[in-house]
Amino acid sequence: MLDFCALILGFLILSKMSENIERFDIPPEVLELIERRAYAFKSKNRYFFRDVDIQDLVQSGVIACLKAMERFDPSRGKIQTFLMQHINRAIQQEAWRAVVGDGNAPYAASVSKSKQDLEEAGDSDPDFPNIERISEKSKVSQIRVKQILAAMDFKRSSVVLQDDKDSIDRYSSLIGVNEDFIEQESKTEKFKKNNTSKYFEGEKDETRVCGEDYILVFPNLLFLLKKKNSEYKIVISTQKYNFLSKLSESDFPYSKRSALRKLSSTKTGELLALPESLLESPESDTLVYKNRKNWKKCEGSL
Amino acid sequence: MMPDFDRIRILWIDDLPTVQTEDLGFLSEFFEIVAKEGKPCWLRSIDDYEEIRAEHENCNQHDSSPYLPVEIVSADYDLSKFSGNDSVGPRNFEGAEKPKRPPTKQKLSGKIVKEINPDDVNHEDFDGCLINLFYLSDFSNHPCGSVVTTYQDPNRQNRVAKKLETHMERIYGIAPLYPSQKNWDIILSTGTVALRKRIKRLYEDSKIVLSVSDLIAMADGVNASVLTLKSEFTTRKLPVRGLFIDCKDNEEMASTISEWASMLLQLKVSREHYRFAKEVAEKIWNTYNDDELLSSYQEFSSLHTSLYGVNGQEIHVDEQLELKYDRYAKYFGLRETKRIGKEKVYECTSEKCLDINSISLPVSKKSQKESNTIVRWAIIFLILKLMKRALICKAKLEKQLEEVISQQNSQKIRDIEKLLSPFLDVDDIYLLLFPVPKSPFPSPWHIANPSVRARRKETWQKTLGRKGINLKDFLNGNALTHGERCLIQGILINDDEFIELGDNEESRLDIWRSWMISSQFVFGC
Repeated sequence: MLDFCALILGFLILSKMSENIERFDIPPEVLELIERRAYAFKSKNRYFFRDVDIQDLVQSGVIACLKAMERFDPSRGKIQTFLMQHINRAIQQEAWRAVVGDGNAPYAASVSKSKQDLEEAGDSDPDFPNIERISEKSKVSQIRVKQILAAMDFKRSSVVLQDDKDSIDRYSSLIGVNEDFIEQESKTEKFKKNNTSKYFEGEKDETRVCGEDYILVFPNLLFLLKKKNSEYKIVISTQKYNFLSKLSESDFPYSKRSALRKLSSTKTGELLALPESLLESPESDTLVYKNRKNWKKCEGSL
Repeated sequence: MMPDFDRIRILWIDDLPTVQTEDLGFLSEFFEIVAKEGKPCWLRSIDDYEEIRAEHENCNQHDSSPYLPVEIVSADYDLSKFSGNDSVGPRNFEGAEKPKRPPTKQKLSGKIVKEINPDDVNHEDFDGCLINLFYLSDFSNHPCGSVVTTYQDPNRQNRVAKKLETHMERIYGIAPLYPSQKNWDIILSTGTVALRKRIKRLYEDSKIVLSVSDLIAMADGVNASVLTLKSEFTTRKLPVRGLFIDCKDNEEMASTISEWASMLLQLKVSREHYRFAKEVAEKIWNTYNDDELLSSYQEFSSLHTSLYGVNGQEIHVDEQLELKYDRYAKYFGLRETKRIGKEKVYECTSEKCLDINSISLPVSKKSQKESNTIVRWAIIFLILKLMKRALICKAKLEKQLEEVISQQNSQKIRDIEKLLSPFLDVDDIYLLLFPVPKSPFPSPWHIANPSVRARRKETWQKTLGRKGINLKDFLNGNALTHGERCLIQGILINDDEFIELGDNEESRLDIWRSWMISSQFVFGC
């Protein structure tokens, strides 16, 4: 720890003294520390922040480190605490930005933490969050909380199922390893396993509209699904999970294109049609809808 | 039978109509004087204007005001002092009392009495001009031609009215025109010339939206009966024949209409470029909608990744899959172009493969600027088509939900409407622009490794970047200029595909405001 402080102080003095130097490289040890923080952060939430580029996190950490050093006042405390606060915050914000967008990024961590705390205290259900309580606790407006939770939910839901579970763990131990290192084999095997029957039998996608079609186009409906006590709940979590595996396919843009085409050409009265089998499935224990006849217009499965 | 256009409105400022101006006659087919209860009302004082203005303000935003804004202001500057306590219109000509004119020897055009002291500001010859100025300060962004129906006085350089006119020209760029005689035929001929000038000026500054389909029809001389115009105040469908009432005969009118419309179109984008861009967009859109072709390419690309991996190294050998793969390779004309290290680079050479990068443009390859313009507009057209599709889905689903949950409380319905926002991102636009791409192959969508996938998409991004196009900026509403948006709104204002969703032009445009992404794209907000 003392080494770290000495290193940072040395770096600080150098950077203050070297105003005439145009380019100044961060010492590799500091860079490594930032990289470790970035990998640790991503690894901790590997599915949630899977689309976040690790280099973006490192870069934001480096920028935060440089900015923080300019503002550091030795009389106010230890440099290590000061810098790590800034680096952690920058990495966190950069990661959240990819999940909830620029505007909501500064509030996302607070909302997420409040949600977690309330769940632990039993004040909020993980699947049906209490928006009012979260808003109150995080001091973020209810609209923003809704937006953030919807974005988080969508991101968490569209997990890439084919990803190697160990890959990100491996990164955290091998700083600087190129992401191209990911093995392809397991993915292609899984792909083949899932798709071979399609190739041999030459099956084409059904042209009927079903639930996943409109959730592909309106992903925010996923948030709507979580309203436990409202009467317009659409799909229960088991069906949602099946839909999410569809979302994670690499052909997602193709699926969405097809869904858009189908929805736009379907008659209005048939849009909300969901598979009849869904109503009878033993898994679908909580499917509630006010006007059930609307669900019975389409066959197939999610 | 009601005409299928809005008659050009005239704001009539006069103390007392003369015989020549009491009736529009045959001109009433295309023109109307702002009227109450079907009878014309003319403004005799500034108080009258204030009364009309107040009524306009009290009108519901969605109701069209019976008076304002207007397209022609016919202003008599010299208003005699009216001593009465009636309010604006309806006024009968028979009942109109002759006002007591001030002792002056002024007469109509040409017969100017030299005795008028040009510096005598106490002689109030500017009330009408002042009303005109008040109107312009309220509605300067709605096209309006100003016509002065008072005498022409060459000695008026120093008088108040002249000062006000100079002020109008300086602030609003409007110079009133002086008709040679005081009858509606001449006044309106002069007024429409001024109106056309104003339309051009406002369109050039992108302050008003003109229907592109109407302009094209006018330029082509094909059955152009109306010109749809949208200003910040209202949407009007002006009669083309009324707008060119000053033309002497049909032949002159046709050529003037065509010339004027072509000139307006040219202000935003060249007609040739517009046509080429439409053709290119149509071709790519048809490919994008070709389910069979797209699913074949999708299978081919994913088979390639499955059999040979991203870099072309053989991963798995399966005879049946390979046979299928070979058939596809032949169909799409796959060939290896080069090797970078161990990585093989492929390209599809079949003519069936089409994307915005490989499509042949009907301009010389040397004219980079022209081809960039065509590609830019083709992309705009394609994005509009895709957004339109998403909006149709949204409107249908909203309608369905409203029917189903009509008994829920309104707050819940509002919650749902907020959530019913179609999801459209850059990947969707990439697929739209590169539905069956020639390169890179395999398609980025079939590569599971995010960084390799991103690199593949980057080649498309760079190609578009060289043409000055950044899709993210497009979707965020930052990439389009004010003029481009004005033209886009002009394209959408008469969109037939939205007829079932919106009753009129304004409501059809409002549909685009209902979704954040389309609103940013079309309106920039």
